[in-house]
Amino acid sequence: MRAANATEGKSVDFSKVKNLKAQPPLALLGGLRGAALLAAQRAATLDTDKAIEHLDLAFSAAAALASDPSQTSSSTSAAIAKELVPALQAIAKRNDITKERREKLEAIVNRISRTDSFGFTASLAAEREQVNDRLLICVDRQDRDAIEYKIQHCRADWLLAMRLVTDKEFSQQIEDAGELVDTTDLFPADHLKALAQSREEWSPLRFWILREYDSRKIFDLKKLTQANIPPLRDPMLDMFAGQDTLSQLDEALRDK
Amino acid sequence: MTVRSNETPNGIFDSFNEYGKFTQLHHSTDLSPAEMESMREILERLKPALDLAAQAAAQKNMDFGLDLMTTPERQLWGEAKVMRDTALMILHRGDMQQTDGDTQAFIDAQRVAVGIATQIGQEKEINGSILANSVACKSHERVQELIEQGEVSSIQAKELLEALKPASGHDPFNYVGTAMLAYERMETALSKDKEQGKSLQEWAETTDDGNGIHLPEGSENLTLENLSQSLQKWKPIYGMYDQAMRETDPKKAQAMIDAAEQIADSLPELDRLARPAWLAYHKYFELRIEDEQKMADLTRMLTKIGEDPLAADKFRSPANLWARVAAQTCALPKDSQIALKDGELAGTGTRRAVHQAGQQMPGEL
Repeated sequence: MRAANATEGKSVDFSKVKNLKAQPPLALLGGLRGAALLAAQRAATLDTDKAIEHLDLAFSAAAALASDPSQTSSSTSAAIAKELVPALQAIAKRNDITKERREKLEAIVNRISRTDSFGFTASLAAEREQVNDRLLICVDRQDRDAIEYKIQHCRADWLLAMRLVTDKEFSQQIEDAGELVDTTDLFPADHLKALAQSREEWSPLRFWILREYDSRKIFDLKKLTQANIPPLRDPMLDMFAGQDTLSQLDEALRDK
Repeated sequence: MTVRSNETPNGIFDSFNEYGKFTQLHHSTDLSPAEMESMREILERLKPALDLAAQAAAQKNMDFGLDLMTTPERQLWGEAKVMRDTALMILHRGDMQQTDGDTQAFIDAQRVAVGIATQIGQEKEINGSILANSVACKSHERVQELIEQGEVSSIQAKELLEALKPASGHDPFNYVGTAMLAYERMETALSKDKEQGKSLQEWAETTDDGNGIHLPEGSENLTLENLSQSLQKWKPIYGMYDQAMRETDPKKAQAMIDAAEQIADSLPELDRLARPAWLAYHKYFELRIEDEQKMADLTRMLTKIGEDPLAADKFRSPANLWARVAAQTCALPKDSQIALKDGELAGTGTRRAVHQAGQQMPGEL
């Protein structure tokens, strides 16, 4: 298997990976972040051409997560990019960085799109749609309008929490996580615990909703949209931090 | 093979009452070891039945012994639904076997499922065709996923091609003729009702498999004779559907369905009352066209992998590759991870871990 295979794909949707069933979502995020860091660490020990190749793989991992339509992936992608700044700075400062090599480095950094950096906007839109679909499964016209309005105008952190409450298991920590793949700095354990409790509280209700849906009864979901779902993290803050990171990456590439 | 009168119409699954439990578990995203064990136990208990189904699926010809002209629609496909559920169970079992590393068993599962689908689709009745198509699609989706995971070798691609062959090509599940059959069923049922002297109101109460339909305003003075005349207007439309199903060019077939639908939409409301059987007939035909296209794409992919082992990499989904990278990173020993995080590449064992990871990961890290 070659790096090219993994880095060629422009858009990635991890929700469609079948074998993720056996892999908690946090392991995917932590694992890719760890792989990017690993590649960057190894880059530091290699000659410049090899180092650039390794940096390419690290940025590819960030770009793959950026293209995944999920806010947790976008936040992780931004975190990876931030961690790659020192590695890029170190390589860009090497004496044997020619014009050609610098252009390669620029192309690598540009794997992170500037139009929707780290995919936050696309992720937000995708999650709005997902939560909308899930919550609107069985409401009458009046409630539908209210819930749609709420979802269209809600904060990104609320939407993320709501998706995780109505979505698959996210609170499962990586089993026996090592330093490299640990994600507690991004998704703190107590936040995950609160989210899990919330899911616990709402899951029986979800089954009830679905059962009622079968008999075409109407259920008022406004209660759920008004519930105090604990935030996991604020993707909007990550988006702004990501802009700073991009500036640092651009700065590192400037010919000095 | 002939299906005999079924004393337990819901077949093996209701007697064990486990199919529902199994599918619920199978669709869960986060199975505990106990739940995994539970799935395996169910499959183990059903093994004799599933193995028997695999033998039955190898039979070429199937005769349900159905009277397609007079049997109420809902009674037509009781056995076929059990067959579909059996096929899905076999596919589930194949998934688990594949997860355990037994790709040959996965391929065999596809062969059996497609065999069952082909049998269900032999009757040239729309419900059978739809059921058969749905089973085949479940198998195709799985093969597609396996290709995207990069798990199909050249030899396996050839075997999969062979296994899926009965479900490939043009109209494997006999949609051709099902539209006219629906028309004729409606004609026969109406004649019978007319002979019995039923009113339009009485017909409306018992039609649609006994569910009844609501008569529109303005139909108060109509009779079944009027309905028969309206039915005549549907004959050319249903003929167009059948013609579309015979067409091998998907674009032309779709255009024919669109043209038929345009005529159908232009009919007055009272004439539309006489529309035979399925209101969404055209949707199922459109799905068939779409599914045949997907199958053709799948066949092309498998053929390429069969001819060139390196082609498997071209079809591998980047998401699958990255997921594998992540899994392999998570599997790195904890000690090496601490050292790596601190940037201490020279620590005992760390270099080895990096080297091993580099050999396992894409890109020779």
